[in-house]
Amino acid sequence: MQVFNLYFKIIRACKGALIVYLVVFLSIAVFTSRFYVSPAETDFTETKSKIAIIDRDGGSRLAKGLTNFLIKNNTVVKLPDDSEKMQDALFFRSVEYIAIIPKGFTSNFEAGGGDLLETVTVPDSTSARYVDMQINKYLGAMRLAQKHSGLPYDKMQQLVIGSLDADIQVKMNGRVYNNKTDGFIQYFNLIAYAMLAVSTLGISTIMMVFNHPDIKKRNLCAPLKQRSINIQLALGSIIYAAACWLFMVICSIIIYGRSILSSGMLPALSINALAFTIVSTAIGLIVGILIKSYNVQAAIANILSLGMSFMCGVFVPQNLLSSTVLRFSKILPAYWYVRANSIIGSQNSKGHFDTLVLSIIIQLVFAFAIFIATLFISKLRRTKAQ
Amino acid sequence: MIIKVQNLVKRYGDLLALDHFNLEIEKGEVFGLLGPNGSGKTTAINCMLSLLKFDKGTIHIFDRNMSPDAYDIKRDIGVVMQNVAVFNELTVLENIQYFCGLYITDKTKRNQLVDEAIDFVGLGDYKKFYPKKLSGGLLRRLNIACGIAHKPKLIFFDEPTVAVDPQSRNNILQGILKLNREGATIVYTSHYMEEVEQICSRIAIIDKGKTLATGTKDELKAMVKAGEKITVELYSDNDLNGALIEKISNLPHVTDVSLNGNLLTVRCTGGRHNLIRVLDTLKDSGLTFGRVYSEPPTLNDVFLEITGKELRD
Repeated sequence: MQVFNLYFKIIRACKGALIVYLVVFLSIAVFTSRFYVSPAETDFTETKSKIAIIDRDGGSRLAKGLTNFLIKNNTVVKLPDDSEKMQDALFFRSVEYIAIIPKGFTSNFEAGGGDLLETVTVPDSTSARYVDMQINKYLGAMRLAQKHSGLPYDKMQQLVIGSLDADIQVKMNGRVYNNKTDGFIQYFNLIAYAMLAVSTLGISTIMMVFNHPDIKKRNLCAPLKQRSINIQLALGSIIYAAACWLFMVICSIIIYGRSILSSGMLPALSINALAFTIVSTAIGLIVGILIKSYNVQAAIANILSLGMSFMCGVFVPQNLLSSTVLRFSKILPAYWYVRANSIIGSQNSKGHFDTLVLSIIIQLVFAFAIFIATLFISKLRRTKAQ
Repeated sequence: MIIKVQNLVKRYGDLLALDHFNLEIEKGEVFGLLGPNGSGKTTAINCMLSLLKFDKGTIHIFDRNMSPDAYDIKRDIGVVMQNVAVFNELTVLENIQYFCGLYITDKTKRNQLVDEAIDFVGLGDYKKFYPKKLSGGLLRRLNIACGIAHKPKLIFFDEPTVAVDPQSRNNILQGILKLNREGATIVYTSHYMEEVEQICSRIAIIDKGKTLATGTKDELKAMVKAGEKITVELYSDNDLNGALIEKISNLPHVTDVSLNGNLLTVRCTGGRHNLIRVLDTLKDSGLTFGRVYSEPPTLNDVFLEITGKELRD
């Protein structure tokens, strides 16, 4: 196992460069986990609409109750009962919704009448629709209580406001989707960058060393079968790549802790990362066969890892990339890796199971094609050398 | 017979690198392959080591047919390539351990052999050095240690002294002789005839892929007409006329006379009093001269005689 032992001695010799890439990767990953805020998360943050209330019913008990309810759930701006000023306020968006409580509002309500409120809103405003829903909810609840509770008015109002204000506890039986989820999906996307860099650098270094004509010649003089050398090199590459993969998966657990473990996504993400590790190993092998200079190797490692990462959505989400870039990136394995991660991270991953499997298979096909190309080039060179 | 090569033909496209090349090397010899650059020395060695496929011919080493998978033969062969073939990522010690480990699986025996190889090449103080930190001479010594650590019976040295300083060159040559004394058969290729003359017991002169002549250095030198080359540095005020040159040419054993500036060169076949006769003739003609050199024939003369060109052309 001389060649196998030598493999890791050489890896040890270039550990400096490898550590640089891993530190860059982990720094970005930790930064992402601390500061990544999902757009989906902000969409669901509770917001308050800016409204104005014009009470023409002289503070009747229902008007008062409704006003208090709206004040609790919205930002109320004071406006005079002046139609011109109301129009101005809507035009300049100082309010989005004006509720006008008409004279006789309470008595009309208690008599069971409809069309109780007048409203003026900014056209097509979602806030206005939201406030409409609040008012309907309040008045609907009050009418229900009035018909069936038999309570005095004050108690009835307390009951309605209390029930409308109650927090609803929601228990998710499925996955918990929050910014942590997006964080570790992003982390796994970043693995593409790190894996490409460390594979290209590590495995191609070994290949360059062993494919150096003088070393190759010297090894062939020894009583060691070429097949044995190849098997030992393959074994070394598998162990090296697997160690890199395991390291990155373990780091994800260290960084994201229970949130990634309880998400149920870790196995799928790890399998996808393993598929990409195989692709990266193949890329490392072919780069090692094609190049001869260490300077070129460093440049290739950067071009491949950064280029593929930028084009395939490792750093920037794929939905922000132009259609032209995406069309081109489909011929790169990292695109399918990121796509698979997105499917795993989506709320309906089970519905896209086939697409997920297809994305992983496409990566493996890439790896297989690169392996075959590597063997072909290697054979071609060997024949030429003789 | 340690090596027997018969009618070896190797082509690189239209170029005939080895043209029915023949070679026989006996056990215990230091055999020199002498030829100019591009004469086919390295190609011949690469074929013998099964690093290159050849078109025709047979190669037997240790009386067995040599082939890429003749691992039992390879086990007893050591190779010191023309280019230093070591791992820059490993230390001196690790490099020797690796190459020795390709032949010797037993760790205790291997460690002992590695220590011996380090002592042999005198790299004891550089065990933990990386190759990039070594000078050219030390690097060559490391290359040798990697090739001979497993104590092979047959060692190929392919131009091991190229770009090496004279002191290191001498160390390398002495080391090769020591290996031979310890029982190894040596195949040594070089285009430095002085080195080949110095250490080789038998020599094959090759050119254009052919073995032109084989023998000991004395046997080879006996093949040439020129037994002695006499060079006389004449003083500039001398008038060396055509008649005198003819007179010298007519002396016994003289084969050629030439004048280049103030240097008179007289080539003679073997004879006891050539130098005295030439000097007497010059003295009788009243010519004055300074330095006088008399040189026996060199391998370059042999090569010149056989091919009509200098070995260094």
